[in-house]
Amino acid sequence: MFLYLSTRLLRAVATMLLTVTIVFVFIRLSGDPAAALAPPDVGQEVIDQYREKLGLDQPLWKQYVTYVGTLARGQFGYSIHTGRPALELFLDKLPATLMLGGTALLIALGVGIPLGVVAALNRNSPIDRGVMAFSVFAFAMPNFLFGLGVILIGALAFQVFYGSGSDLFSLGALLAPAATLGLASMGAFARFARSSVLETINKPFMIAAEARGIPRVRRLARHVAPNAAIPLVTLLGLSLGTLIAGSVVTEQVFAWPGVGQLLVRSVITRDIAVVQFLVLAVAGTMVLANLLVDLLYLVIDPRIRVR
Amino acid sequence: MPSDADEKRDAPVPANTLEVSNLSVKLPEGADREFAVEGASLSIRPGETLCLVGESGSGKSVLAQSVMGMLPPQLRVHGGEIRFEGGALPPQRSKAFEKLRSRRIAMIFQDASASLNPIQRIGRQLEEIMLVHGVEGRGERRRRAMELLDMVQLPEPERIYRSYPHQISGGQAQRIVIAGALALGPALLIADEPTTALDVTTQAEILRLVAELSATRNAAVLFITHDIGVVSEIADRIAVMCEGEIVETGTSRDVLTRPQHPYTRRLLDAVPRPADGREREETPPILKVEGISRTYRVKTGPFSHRDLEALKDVSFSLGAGETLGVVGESGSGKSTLARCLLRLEEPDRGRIHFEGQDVTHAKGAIMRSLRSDLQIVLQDPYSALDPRQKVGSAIAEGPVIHGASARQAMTRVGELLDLVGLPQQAADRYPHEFSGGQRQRICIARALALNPKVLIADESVSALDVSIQAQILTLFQDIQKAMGFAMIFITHDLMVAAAICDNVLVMRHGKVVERGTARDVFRSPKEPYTKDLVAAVPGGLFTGTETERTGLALEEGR
Repeated sequence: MFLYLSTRLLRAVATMLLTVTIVFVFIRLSGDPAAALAPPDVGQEVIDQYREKLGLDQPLWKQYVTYVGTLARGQFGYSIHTGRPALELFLDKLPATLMLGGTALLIALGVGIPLGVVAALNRNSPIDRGVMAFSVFAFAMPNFLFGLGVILIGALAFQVFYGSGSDLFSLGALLAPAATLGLASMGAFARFARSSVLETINKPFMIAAEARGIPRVRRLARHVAPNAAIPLVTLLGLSLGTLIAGSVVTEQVFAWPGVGQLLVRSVITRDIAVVQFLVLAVAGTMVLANLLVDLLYLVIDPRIRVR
Repeated sequence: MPSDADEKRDAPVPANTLEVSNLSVKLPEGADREFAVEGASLSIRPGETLCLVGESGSGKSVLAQSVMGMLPPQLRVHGGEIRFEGGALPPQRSKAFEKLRSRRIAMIFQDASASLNPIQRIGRQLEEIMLVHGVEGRGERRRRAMELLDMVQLPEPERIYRSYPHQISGGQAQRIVIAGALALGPALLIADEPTTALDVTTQAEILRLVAELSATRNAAVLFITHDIGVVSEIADRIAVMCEGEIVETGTSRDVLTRPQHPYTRRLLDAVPRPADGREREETPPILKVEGISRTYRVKTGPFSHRDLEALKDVSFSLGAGETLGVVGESGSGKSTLARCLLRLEEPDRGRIHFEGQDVTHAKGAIMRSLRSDLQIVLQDPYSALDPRQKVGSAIAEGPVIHGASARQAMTRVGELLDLVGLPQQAADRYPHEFSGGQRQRICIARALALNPKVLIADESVSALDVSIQAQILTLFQDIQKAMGFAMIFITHDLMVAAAICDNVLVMRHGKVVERGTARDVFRSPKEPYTKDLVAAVPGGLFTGTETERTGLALEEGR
């Protein structure tokens, strides 16, 4: 267990360090930061002043060390447009995004897994085929298109406009973008849950459990469920990436005032400090989420916990 | 069909626990035969062990499933009747059947480790059986679970109770499964190949345990197996099954010594027996192994590890045309040895000489020629062939890589198929169109395609039915005679080794503990471990290998 935990932790730290390095390199590759930061139409000497002020005249390795050091101290720089710290901008938008992403995840799990289980228990029936057809649709549907569809139907059929992002706390306004965002993951969860349940149901120990006279409902609840959950935890870690990527598009479509919008705006306005912080934040979230998934394995799979 | 009335007994004959009469189970349309079980009749009395013998696909498991009420929906009882304790059984897969299972009829399976839930503690799994069958009180269930673990003679029942299935050995798992099966004192125990996956010494213990417990609890046992040795050890009576029909029933002695049905006779003839007096003159060594060792590193922490010595100072030499048996239980290092010889792995110490040349660290051209001189046939003919590759191309692959033209290679394929007794058309078919025995023939043809000088057979007949096993063993011998290669025959089955090998190495914990001619090692083993191994072979009386037991290997199986 110690081996398991320590390798995961080391891996997480290594991943973060790699991300920081890549961000550093890419910013240097995307053009001269001094030129980008200086006001337009200024002379070379002004840009040089900026360069000196920002420490860009230092050798590259020194810049890198300073950079990592500043990040480690929690200083992530300031937005050039608003002058506010990048961290503050991010934290402002975070609750909205968390609400959207959390609801989307709940929908993906809460609808996807039961669908998959029902399909598995009715294997090769019309129900199974229906669920699988739906999951392919869900997985294949780009969320910008589905989002627009939702807005259109909402407006035409229910006379509600979901695309304004104005009233975050009305149920419809939350559910419409959340369903859009969670759709792809829902399809993936349905598919995974189905195959995982089917695989578990046909394991020798399930036949043995039946031979011991354990009733079907108990077999499903106590033996199939915990075993079938293990691969789903893997998918959980992976689907967070899909959700984060999807949220950028979904927030745009529904005018949802979240981190995704902030990211798009910052990229368009070349707000380097904010973009860089958001990249690190997203990477950090992924690393942390997968660390949590690894911890979750410890809880549900004794083969990892006790060797 | 002989009836039980033939047997003379002083006591009044007790009522049969199980009575299957004229049972037929229909297979779905398009199967290779109409009935999985056809007109089968058998009966078992309390305290009696009936062995149901047959090869894979004979219908013995389907018969067991019908008795358990667990026939898959696509199989239907077509006719006949199963009576249990004097009454009719509930319909297949019905709710009422759930109450009978464990309580009156219990079943244990081939792979005990796989029949335990991998993520639940042993204790909980035992208690669950009692819980669902109405044993009240957590404390009471726990007490009885501990009692059961004690009954099946597990060491440290407290620790086992808290363990997960992956923390215990296969033999221990089978004990636990037996404990669970006997938890509620069933009248009938069905054991479906319960020792097939176990080492020979562990198998001997489990057989003894089953016999002991069924005697003390007066339970009827339906013991399904394909191993005649096991049968001779445990059966009171025997029913032989072939293609869905029970072709012969009788007392153990009668069936084993005076088989009536031709199929029974074929089955008995196929049992490997020690070959007599195969004395061969010394030939110059083709492969010489000097003190090779191989240690694996098992990670215990991010910066720490433990050493696992898989091979310790193993030396031997293999003469041209000789068949050397490497015998040992699981974990003895025999497969690591094969991998080192094939240079799939590097030994840490020691030297390997092939035809007088040191090839321990050979590279380049020498290595390439070594690859064609040393070939292997693996255990499982199902996973050893690429399912998407035609048989012909699988066999031709080696010659083509080593420089043969497509035409030469295809001619070679034809010769080889002929050699292993398969039709020429086999080349154009895919592996899934062949049976297990045929696939092993394909694997052998593939291994021989490059005219190897040494053929390594790693448990090559272990996964096969006994009659197929006999055919493949004969095939190995015939081809060897024709082609003259030397063979290293790795097996856990002492009888197989005794049947085919000239000389034998007995391995244990990575070391060679005994060596000698096959006859000497099996007839008069010197080392205590070898003695135990030979003694543990089931059916000693039957195969003529009774020797004294020392109990050394038996402790180990625990």
